Amino acid sequence: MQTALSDIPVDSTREISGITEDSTVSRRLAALGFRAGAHVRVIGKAPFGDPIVVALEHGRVALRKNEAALILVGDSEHPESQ
Amino acid sequence: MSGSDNKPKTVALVGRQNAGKTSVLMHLTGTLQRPVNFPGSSVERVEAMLPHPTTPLVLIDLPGLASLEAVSPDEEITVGWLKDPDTAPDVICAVLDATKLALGLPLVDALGVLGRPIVIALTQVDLGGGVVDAAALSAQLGLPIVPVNAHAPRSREAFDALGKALREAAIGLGGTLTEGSIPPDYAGITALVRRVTSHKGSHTPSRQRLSDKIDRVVLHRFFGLPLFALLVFVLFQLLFYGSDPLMGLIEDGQGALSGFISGLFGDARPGPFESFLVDGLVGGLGATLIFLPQIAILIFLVSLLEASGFMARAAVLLDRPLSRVGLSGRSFVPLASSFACAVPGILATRTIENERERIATILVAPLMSCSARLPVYVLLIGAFFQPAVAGLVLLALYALGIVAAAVVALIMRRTALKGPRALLMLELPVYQRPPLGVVLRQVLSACTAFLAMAGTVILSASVIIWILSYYPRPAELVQSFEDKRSAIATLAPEETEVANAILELEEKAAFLEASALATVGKAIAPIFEPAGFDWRITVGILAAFPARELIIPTLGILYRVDSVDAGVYDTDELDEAASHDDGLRAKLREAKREDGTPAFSMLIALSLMVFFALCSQCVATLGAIKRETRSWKWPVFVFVYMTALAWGAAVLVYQIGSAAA
Repeated sequence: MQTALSDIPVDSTREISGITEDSTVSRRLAALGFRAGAHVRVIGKAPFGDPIVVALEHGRVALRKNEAALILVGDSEHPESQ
Repeated sequence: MSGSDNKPKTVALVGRQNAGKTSVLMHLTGTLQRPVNFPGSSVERVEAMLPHPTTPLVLIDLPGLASLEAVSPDEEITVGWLKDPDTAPDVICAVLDATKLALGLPLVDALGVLGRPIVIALTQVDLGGGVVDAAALSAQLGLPIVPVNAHAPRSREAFDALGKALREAAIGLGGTLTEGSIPPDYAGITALVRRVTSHKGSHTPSRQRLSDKIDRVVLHRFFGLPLFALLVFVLFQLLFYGSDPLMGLIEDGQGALSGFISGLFGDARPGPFESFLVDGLVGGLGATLIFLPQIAILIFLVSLLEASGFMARAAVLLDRPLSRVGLSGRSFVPLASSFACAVPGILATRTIENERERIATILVAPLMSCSARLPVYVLLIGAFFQPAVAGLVLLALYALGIVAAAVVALIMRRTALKGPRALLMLELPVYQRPPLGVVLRQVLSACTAFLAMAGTVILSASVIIWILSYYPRPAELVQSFEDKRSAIATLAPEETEVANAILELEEKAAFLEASALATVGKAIAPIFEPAGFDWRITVGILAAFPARELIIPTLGILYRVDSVDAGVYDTDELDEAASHDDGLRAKLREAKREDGTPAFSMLIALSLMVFFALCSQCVATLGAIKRETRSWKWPVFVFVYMTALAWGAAVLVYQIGSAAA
């Protein structure tokens, strides 16, 4: 079972299981560090709920919900809260 | 490769954005030096010398790269330069952020293919949750690795060690990447990173925690936007009040220089050469230089926000509203800058990767009411509107520009610039105290660019307008003023001075009326008739082609009003000048009633201000658009669409207003 990064609640840490499509967008996501095995946590949402800000390993990245929807994460909360 | 000659070797600093390249360059060389453009493009890189008796180096700071797969036009130019054997640097200094090692290593892998010696500078060693074992990583990759830390007390030694490693690499004592030492897949890379990093624990470092706390306020769902609006308001106040005394200084300087030049020519009547120097050169350049303080302060504030990490948050905050009109958060900085001046605003669009969105931003940036429109607004509002509504009218003019920009952007993104939205994937750097050196360098660079433009485009435009407004000089007109002057000479000495001053104004107006500019103005006046403009306002619009504010001195001459300067915000002077001399005031009234109806009214003033809010009367902006889009197509398009829009709106205002009255 997997969920899209765009749907997980604020302050929950998950492990990325994969990126759904192969395109320029997914290559950009990969260059930023969105790859299977990496840990993400949604740390906030801009006014209007979009874009969202996520903690990715040690960095903070802002991206739109459209792109976040391509990133699949595991269903279970990851114990290691960074 | 040539061996022992003293020609400096080149070292390119390559790294991801925010990896700390610029900081490394500054600490290595102690200074920041001139930005240099890549040949045939506007992409900048910064070069600095690292002197040494035997192996001097030239360090080149390249724009940030995520990979060697170029995505934006800027990246394409940088990557092309790195790959071309003729231009490639002797040594590559890969600047890696220790906290994002897993993202930096694939870039090193790609750089290894270029076959040049590589030295790794490891930054942010104080920020991560772990400590990177540089020796272990160095052994794995076969490359020299120097941890540098700008904030650490012993940073000087670290940067000396980096300089030494770079020199060794330059003379062939360094290393090239061990093939296959960097795993091709992410899992392999994270395993490698884990192996060379000793964890102090997985807690978030304190600077990041503080940064997250600030973000909870700045990006707050409800308070985020109001707080942001407040900040923008404060910055604009700083901009206007801060630049005021400096602008006064430039104005005084211009006046003093004009006076000095006139003094050199003695009491003789102004000839063409004196007029050319005073009205053409000093006047034209002065009207432009007056904006230098605002540009410098604006760039200073914007760079401060940029370097502190705040600008990335502003882009996030405003992404959604700007997306509505086909732009994105990345358009925010260019558009906000354009309220001071569209030129730095247009230069700031370089950070937008999506070419169509970048051009759409450039096309609407000149619609933001810039500081050059302000003197025109203030003059006309002060003259024709009650003080009670003055602020409201001013606000409406600013709003008009914003609404027009939204509509134009939307139309362009649905038609000629149709295409997918630009991606918004921004790394939000940790908030930091902005490095003053970097900020000042950006201010210097923007000011030099502006001065270069003033010295070339604006200067030649001013000269052309001066020639058109000075020639031809009909012989009978020259003779008639000759006669009047002789008549004045017979008056009592105390009367001569006043009479001569009035005559000089009359003479200026008479010759301007006979000039080529006026001939053209009268010829095209029918076009502006529906907007309520007479031929003199039309001449003012023509004369303001190089820069909007030039309409003020031109109208001053045409309506025989003295002491109305561009950049004088205070319209009280108009009354003062008139009260000094009743004859002048009478002349002003006469000029207004020349063809039965007044030349100006509240409605005509409003129509003229709407025209100026929307028109593209600014050579500097058109020049910047040409430079940034590398094509004449877009500046021509901007001029045509904005002029048409301005004319249409002015006609609409005047016709509806006339019908309602």
